[in-house]
Amino acid sequence: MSTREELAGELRVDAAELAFLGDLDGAQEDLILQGLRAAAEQQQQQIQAAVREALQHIPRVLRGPVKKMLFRNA
Amino acid sequence: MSALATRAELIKLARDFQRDVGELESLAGLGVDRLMRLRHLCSDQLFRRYQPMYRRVAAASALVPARLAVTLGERIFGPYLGGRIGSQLETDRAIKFAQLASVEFLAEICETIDPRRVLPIIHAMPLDRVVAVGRILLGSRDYITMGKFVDAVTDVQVQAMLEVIDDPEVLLHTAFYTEGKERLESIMAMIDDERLKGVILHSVGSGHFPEALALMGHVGEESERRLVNLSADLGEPVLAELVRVADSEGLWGEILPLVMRMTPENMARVMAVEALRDRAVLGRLMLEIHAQSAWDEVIPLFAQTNEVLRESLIQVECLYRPEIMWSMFQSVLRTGSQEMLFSMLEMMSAEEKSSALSAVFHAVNEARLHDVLFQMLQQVSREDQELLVAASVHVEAALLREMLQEARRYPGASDTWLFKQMDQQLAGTP
Repeated sequence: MSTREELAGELRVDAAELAFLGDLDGAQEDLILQGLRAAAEQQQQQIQAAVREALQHIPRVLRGPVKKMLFRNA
Repeated sequence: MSALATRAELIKLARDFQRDVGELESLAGLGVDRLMRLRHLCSDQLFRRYQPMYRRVAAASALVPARLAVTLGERIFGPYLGGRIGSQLETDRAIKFAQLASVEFLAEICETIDPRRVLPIIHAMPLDRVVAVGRILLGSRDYITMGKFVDAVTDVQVQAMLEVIDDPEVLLHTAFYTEGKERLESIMAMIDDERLKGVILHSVGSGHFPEALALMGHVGEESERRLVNLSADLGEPVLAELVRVADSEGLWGEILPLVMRMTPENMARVMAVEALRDRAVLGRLMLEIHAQSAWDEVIPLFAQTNEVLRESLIQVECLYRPEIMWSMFQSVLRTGSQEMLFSMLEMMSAEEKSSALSAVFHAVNEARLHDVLFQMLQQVSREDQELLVAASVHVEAALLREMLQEARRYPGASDTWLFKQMDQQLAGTP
């Protein structure tokens, strides 16, 4: 899989939608890919921390159902 | 000022990617528009990953009293998640929450959210709330966030913010990170000349004039004209900085079009800047004028300059390149600036005269533009023709001979006084 295809996969778009990037070389595409992954990682950490904090305020017995109901893909 | 605008966009992308801007320099070639599109695409995708969760929590907030929902958001979810959940609320409810939340919390949300997600909420936000949050962002000097929000707020909200901003640095840097050209246009219209001059002077005094120039290049033609002329009104310190930045940062290509927007009086002020007496600086300027085919605009300016600048001009090496001399020569005749050209010819040394005329003849031979040259020479006054004849003494005989042979092919050309004189002169040459 090319870096462009990986990037498209990460962005969940068709590779053709990235045609506007022109002919970037592999290193440049990798720079974008790694940047996007870093941003995604940071987003995930922020959200998981916020969800963990939120669940702390809920009676233990209800945490599972609340997480399932509200935060299931966190 | 696309290079600087690109830098602003790279800084924003670096912030989103958790990178140092230096690491992304290799992406500068994408330019502002494509970098912005990439940043928006990444932001949209990241948001979509958790959007269903934001929606569910936003919907659940309706089950508890607003005050409790806001307390939970502020104390438990925090600005990152709280802001994203808030973006999924109905506008009326979001405004109600915003009225109950602390302004500090709202300011933190601004720092973490893409304003495009919350446009209807921003537009409906009461002015006092906007200003209160704005004051906190002003205090933190987070210009990137402010720049992004400038694009999102309404004109009325901008006007209210302008009333509380008293620091020219804030205006300058926030504008630097503002994306929308149209938005900058409307803001420009709200700021009076004196205030804009204050921003320009501040930028010069604080070493941020490139940012001010980037701003000038990022607005429409009318605002650009207004800004560059206000800069010129500020006189030598600003114009000297303009020339210094253009030359030292290699920005003539971007700054020359700005100079072209000035009034003729202000353009003449630029030409009078002391730094332009430097042959190296002048040479780089001339190369850019040539690259932009801007001779017709610049020649009338050179024509207004004094002998000191002309003395410097004739010592600039690149002037004697055939393509440059020929372009300049054509432009002189098109713009009726013969006086300037011939006064320069008079100032030239024998060697320079030879170089100048030879350059024109070489360029004409190369491009087979003899008919153009001969037509042009017919417009030259007798007095100036005498000067050309005198200068032709210094031209290599073979080159002059070739020119005269060509002249014989064009009806009337070889019969002109100029060519007859040159012919006689050549006859006396071994």
